[in-house]
Amino acid sequence: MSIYFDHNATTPMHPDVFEAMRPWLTERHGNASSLHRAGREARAAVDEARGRVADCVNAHPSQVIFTGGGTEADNMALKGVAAMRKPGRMLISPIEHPAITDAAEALERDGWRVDRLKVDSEGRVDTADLERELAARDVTLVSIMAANNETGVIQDMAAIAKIVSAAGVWLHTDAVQAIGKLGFDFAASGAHCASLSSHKIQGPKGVGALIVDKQMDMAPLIHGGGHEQGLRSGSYNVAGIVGFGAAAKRLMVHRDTEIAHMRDLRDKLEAGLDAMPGITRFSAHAERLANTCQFAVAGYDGEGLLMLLDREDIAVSSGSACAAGTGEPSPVLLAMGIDPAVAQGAIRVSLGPQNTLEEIQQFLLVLGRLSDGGGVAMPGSISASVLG
Amino acid sequence: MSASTAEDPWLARFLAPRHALAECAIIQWQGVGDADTPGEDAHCRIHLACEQEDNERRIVAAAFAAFGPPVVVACADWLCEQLRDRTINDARSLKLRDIEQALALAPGERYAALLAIDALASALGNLG
Amino acid sequence: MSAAGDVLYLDHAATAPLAPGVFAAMQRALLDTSANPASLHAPGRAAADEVAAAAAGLAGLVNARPRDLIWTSGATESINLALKGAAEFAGGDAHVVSVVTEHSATLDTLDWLEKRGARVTRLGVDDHGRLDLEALDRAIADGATLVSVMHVNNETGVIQEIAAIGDLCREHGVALHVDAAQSLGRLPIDMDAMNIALLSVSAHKIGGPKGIGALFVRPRTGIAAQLHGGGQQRGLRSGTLATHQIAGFGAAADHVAATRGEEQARLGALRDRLWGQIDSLEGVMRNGAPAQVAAPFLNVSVAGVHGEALLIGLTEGTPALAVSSGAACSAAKGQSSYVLRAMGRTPREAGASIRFSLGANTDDATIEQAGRRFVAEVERLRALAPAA
Repeated sequence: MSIYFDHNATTPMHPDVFEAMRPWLTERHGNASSLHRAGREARAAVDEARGRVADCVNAHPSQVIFTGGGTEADNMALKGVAAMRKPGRMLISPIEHPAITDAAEALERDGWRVDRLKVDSEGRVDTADLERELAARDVTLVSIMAANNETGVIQDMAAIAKIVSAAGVWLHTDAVQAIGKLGFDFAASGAHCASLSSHKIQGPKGVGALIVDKQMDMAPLIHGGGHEQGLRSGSYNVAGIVGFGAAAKRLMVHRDTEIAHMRDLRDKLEAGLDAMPGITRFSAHAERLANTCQFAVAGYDGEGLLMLLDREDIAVSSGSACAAGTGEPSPVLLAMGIDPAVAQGAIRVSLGPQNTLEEIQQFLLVLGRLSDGGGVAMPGSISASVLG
Repeated sequence: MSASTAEDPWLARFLAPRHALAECAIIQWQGVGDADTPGEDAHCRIHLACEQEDNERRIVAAAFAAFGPPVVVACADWLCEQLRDRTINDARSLKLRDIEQALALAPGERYAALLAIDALASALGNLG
Repeated sequence: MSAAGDVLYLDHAATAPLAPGVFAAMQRALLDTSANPASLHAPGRAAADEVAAAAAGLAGLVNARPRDLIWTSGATESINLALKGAAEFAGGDAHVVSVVTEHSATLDTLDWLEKRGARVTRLGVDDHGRLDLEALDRAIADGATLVSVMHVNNETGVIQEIAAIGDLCREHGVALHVDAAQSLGRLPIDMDAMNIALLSVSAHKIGGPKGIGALFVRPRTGIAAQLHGGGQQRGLRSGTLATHQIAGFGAAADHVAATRGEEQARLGALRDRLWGQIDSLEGVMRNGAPAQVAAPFLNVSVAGVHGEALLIGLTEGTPALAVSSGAACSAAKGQSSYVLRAMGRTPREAGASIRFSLGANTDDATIEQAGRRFVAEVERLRALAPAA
């Protein structure tokens, strides 16, 4: 029986979401921009989903701009703001998803100055540094992710938003990981735009959203046809959007239970890991997403360990799926000041609502055995006693 | 053009008008009046048939012909329906607002009501 | 039979129902191979295999190599990437030569590029909607860095001579981008023989899902990425791949590859029958020279009726006839067709024009009823109009 512990990379689709999508893939196939009835029905379905996504993050439906995914939403936030202005300055954290860091690099090639804020050894943004950087009054946009995809670290967005808005600066937050495993309230967050992704909340891949405060002046990233209030053109992915809406709706109902379940499993996992020798857990002392645990096993390379676990039918990640296969240590961990040699060994376990205690036990057993093989002893009795 | 939806109250009237000239049996019209929009994108014509009753003239039938967006047809049709059995003075009292309210016109559709009212005024003026 | 039961659906150029096998492929990818194809573990590799199989099938359809394919969220994004990517690569010298009858995805992107300092030449067309190759030759000679032409026009179905245009581009050593959203699966496309450097395609026009497209980029074609982050697809288009969408596109490509010749002949014959019925009316005109129009398309201008009345009468009356006037994208904005005006039609003629586009679920009975319904509606509206 295979074990899937890579929910921060993507989540399996929920069967209810699939059922919601099914009619829009089969008999109901109108183009949502067409004027005839089939088109209007598709349009109505898109707008219903828009309402559900808005409800899920406490935004107004008119603030939801559907995109092709979280990466596009992140790109749109930075480049959409940049395109309306002469090159100036932005601030991002050094632990952002590559969608932000790479978009920032693209802006730097266009003449923008993008500075990386300091984070502490747990991966929390240094708010004093943020205040200092904003003091020059030359910053257009600050982008800080609500929760990190690798370590799961949750930023103090309320404190950050307070500082950013006091400086009169736009704030974007990548809430892709936060929405399903923490919850995200756009209205209360103080952010002016936020990126979401459907496939991280048991919805389909290929659809996401940028939630945008209408006060922001922003240029579109993709032109042609003028869909989504002119901010995002292209025929609507009706089934995908309906699936996103269905996932958002079910998330609102089940999120608290799911978080409690994942937290319980994750705590048991970490208790097991803490009882093993040679384990370094990252961001262990910070507030983290309930499902995420990133750690290194002494003597192992992260990708090597991933492959060994894969042979045991256990799917984990050595960081962001997006950076997979590069063999480089995680830039997130390096920004936290982790020794590159240690960071090289990182693997990430990210749980989902469907995971079970048996899977945690199985994982600890396999890890213990591998640790043995790697020359690190780990008596089986320890994990047994921890798990009770 | 405005995108119509099934909820538009004038849609049924456009799809099945009851007072189109082409389907009207009365041949003896006493008054005909026209109105069109600048650029002639829409045109409305109202036909009136009257009878002398005591010392008042009364409209016994009204029919329209129209070229234009669906809402133009609907406004003309609604107006013709209202005209039947009205005295001339009564007919003159029909206002733009009456059509707008009856058909729940959006601001962009108001011109269609104006077209119908103008055609009526012209037809009343032309009564022999 | 068609979309909403009693609807006569002749709007396949806006979007088409799923082709046989597509739903099954999507269902499999949604429920069974739902991992992130960028992940290194076994579930991730299974998803990556789905992606590779689809790429092979789609590439085969246009005589390209699978590795030249970049998945996007749809043809609109593909076109944006091709035009902006090539212009960015060309830098200050960028000069794009295109045509006034292109899809709004191209036209809006060209406007954007022009605002950002690129040179744009928009060539006109003749009364049949065709590009004058001598005018193209002169424009290319004037320092063009990219030529962008759509293969089959989305409103009229008019086919441009891509092979001859490709030859011209070869002579001048300039790259050719072809918007093949409407020609894929309908006409033969050979990127190699036609000298096409960049090719934009869309799944939902060939019976694949909405929200997925591709851009083919032949080797030694310079484009700069437009969506950054994660580095998927050789860094040219970042973002998690939507495996189910790609699997659906692949299945649709397989289906059209197996059925194209026969199906297009069938649709051409049905289209001619439909025209035979409509031609019984006075004052109707067929747009585009019949020999130069793709099989599923019939675009007619009707004298003596108002365009909006005709469209609403057809789509809202009973039985509903789902057709369009102009592209779905401009329908929502209610402008008379710029494509038909470019072909010399007056605004009123262009306004009272209807596009029929046939597809897989179009049969003899649909055509028979649609023709009758169209003739009856035109006669009804003409009878309502005041005599001159």
